[in-house]
Amino acid sequence: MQTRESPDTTPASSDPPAARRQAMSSLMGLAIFGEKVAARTYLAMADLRADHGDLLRKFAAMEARHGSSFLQVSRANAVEPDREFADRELGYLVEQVERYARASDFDALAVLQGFIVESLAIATYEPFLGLADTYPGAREAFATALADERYHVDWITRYLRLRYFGAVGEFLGLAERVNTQGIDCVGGSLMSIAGYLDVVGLSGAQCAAGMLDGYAGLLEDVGLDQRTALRSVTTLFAPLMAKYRRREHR
Amino acid sequence: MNTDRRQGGCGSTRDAGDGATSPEDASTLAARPVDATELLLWALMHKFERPALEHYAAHASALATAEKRSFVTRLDALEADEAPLAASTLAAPVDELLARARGADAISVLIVQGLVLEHLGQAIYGIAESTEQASPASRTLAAVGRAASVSVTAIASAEIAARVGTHERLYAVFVDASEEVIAALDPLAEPVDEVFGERFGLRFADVLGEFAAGLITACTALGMQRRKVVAHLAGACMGL
Repeated sequence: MQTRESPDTTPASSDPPAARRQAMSSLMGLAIFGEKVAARTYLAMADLRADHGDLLRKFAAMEARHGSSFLQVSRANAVEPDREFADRELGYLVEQVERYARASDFDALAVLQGFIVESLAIATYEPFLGLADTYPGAREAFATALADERYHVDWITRYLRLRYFGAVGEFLGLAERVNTQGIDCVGGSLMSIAGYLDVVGLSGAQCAAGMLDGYAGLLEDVGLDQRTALRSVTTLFAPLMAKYRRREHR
Repeated sequence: MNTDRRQGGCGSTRDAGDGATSPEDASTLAARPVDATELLLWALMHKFERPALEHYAAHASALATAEKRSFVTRLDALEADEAPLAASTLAAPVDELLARARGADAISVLIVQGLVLEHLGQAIYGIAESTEQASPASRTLAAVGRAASVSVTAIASAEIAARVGTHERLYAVFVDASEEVIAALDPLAEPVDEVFGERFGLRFADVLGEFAAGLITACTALGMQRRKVVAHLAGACMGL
């Protein structure tokens, strides 16, 4: 298993327009290439479960379309997506996805992609709509993506509720197994972009709260009690936030 | 729940035990933790608990419950040497946290001590109570400490609702009162892991997870929006 390193991703420029460009470049890079990884993950899930294969391939196609529409938004706004940044952030996630796929661990992929990754997407796309009109084409692209991600989350929630009906303890075991790397990885990416979110006019702390609270809420929707869900998520999220703070104050 | 919490005239909490010593009390007092790291933990908790009780006595007497007074008396009786604590990496961040918690009015005592730090204590006691690496004496003491803390938070919540209100009105006051203390938790992380991690398996991340879950649940019970409370905790933890 890989371990996450802590790249220094704090926006470096003291020139506000340059800092904003750098921030948008990193954010759009992560969004575009992250959607492509999401597409691959749903395809891997489709290969594992023929009974849900057609639907999951549709999910994969939707994610791929998000990536394409985000790329168009980038081009329309002269934002060059930072692929290097995205690759660095997504490598850890890809490794986890591939490991679960090799192990035919469908449910782990469902939690990782359908809950954790989607929670990051929703926690950032939703507030971004508040400033999307600054960027031509962004509103439609992000509103569509947000609605689609919520649809995916709804389906995954229903799947997991049925799968773990009367087996909440087993589900907690699954979630904690996936969380250990999944929150470190995806939550870590959110910490990596928190400074950029602040630069473009969003709040890194609000987005982090959105992801943490959103994901805990999904665990509750499957059957965990509020306290267990919050504890499970915050235990892993808190050290990431602390790391962020220490980096900011170095 | 304790029914005589307003008795005892808490002006002098040093002598404010509830008088009677039950057989369980006696056996716990006899079975004193002897391990140096365990005693360090109890010296640490005493450093939090004694001033908290004094703050309650001075500013919010209903929070000086019989359970809390009895528990602090037990900690007093341990007479755990504070020198190892003062010499440890815990000393500076603990002093900083306590300095920030030194509220001089009833509202800040209710929120900072009665809600935030009591939930931190509950998290620590809950983990200490359940760890098999701790002695039976420490586990029993942790269970008593947690019950005493629960007796305080239940009253603190009611007092906060009565004095400040609930929902949005309370949220603004809660944020203002708690931000500095929550921000002071992070420097404890490495010392706690270093001192207690190997011996007890007590990791600060677990404490923080348990603490956050308890505090968020208490805040939502007071009508505060969960997402906003989480955002406040995240912002304080991230320094944003």
